[in-house]
Amino acid sequence: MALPSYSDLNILGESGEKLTDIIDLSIELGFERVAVNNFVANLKGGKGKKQTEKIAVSPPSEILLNEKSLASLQLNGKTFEQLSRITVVLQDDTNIPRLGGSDIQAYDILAVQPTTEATFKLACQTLDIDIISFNFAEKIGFSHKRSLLNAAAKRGIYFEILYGPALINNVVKRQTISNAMSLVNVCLGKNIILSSGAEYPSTLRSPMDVFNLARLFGLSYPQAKDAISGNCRAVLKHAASRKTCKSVISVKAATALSQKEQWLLNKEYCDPDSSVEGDESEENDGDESEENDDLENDFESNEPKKKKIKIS
Amino acid sequence: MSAHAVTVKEQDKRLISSRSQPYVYFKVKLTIENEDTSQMTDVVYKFLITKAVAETLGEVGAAICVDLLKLFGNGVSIIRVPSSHSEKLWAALTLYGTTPAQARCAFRVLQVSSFLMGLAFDTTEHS
Repeated sequence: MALPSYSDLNILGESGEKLTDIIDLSIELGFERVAVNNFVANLKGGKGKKQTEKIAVSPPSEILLNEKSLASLQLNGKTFEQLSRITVVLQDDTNIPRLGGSDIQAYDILAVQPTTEATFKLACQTLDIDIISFNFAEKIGFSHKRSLLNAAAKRGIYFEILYGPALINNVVKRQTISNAMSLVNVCLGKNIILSSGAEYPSTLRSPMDVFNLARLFGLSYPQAKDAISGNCRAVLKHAASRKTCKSVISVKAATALSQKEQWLLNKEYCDPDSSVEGDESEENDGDESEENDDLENDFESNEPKKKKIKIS
Repeated sequence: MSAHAVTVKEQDKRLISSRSQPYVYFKVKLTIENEDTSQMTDVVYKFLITKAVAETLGEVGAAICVDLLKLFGNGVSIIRVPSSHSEKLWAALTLYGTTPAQARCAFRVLQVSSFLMGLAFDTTEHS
């Protein structure tokens, strides 16, 4: 089993010395994947607004590592992945059309922070996003309904618990713990990620510290581990699938194929990369669909075409 | 911990205990922003640990017996905690963010073991 690669999908901050410090420290602590977050409190979208009134979303920034941290990475033979993420606060549904814009889609990960029940419902059921984040510092004005959380989980959306704000004062800490525990309670510990939301290097904690914190919030051992490694990877896969073009694959059991369609199971035809010996290899140069038609004519010349497996 | 009691010969009998150990040992590193932790005395260090535990777990939590076994020069220390409370205590250390002087600080646990010998070597550091 491969070692888990620990991730922190929320590091706040604009580019600068401070951000470089945080990233250097995160490498030192053993994180292998870090997302730099751009927090947008209000997009100011909406129809009535003029173009100039809308807030310009800055493009994702790339932070270059300095020589020293790069050298230590190479020495240990570790990899480090840097991602960009945007978090948009959703007060109402006026900002939603802007989420599909190219300036926001340019980010690797798209997260929203719903503040009302209506936007939370929307985020869980319809919006094309990767992470739902909550403002744990205050009392959340709505309840986490299990049906909504399940709907979001089914669509591959993950919920984020931020521990960074809890380090500042006691009231926020209490609020964070109680909110996190209630969230974990409702969604049974599934689909949860923990991230720091670090603004300063001292807010960052090591992966094992975060792991133990997840245990405090009520996650089981495997769930706590997933919250900092496996689930974060799933978020990335979900984000990647958001960007690729839509595609459909039809799957049919091999036993369900009729006698006439058995040729599909022949490895030579199934795998386009495998070299086919003999005369047929020369035919491979032609258009693939043409080749398919040829084969079908060979094997089912009497049968009308019933089913065609198409992978686009 | 796997529980195996292998009896090879009577003279080199090997016993590995499967029961939970009474204590858990932590190797902790304290960093305080814009402050040098290398000059810190053990009294101050222990005070900060107690403060951290009291902040999250309250006075009852602060009554848990935490022993500072060794304080190295660079803010790294070895502490001993009763194993029944170790998880909560670790979380309390993690959630401690500001010192009484309002400086940002962090307790980071480097290693955990139920034996003091386990802290002798860090398997996560190969360099």
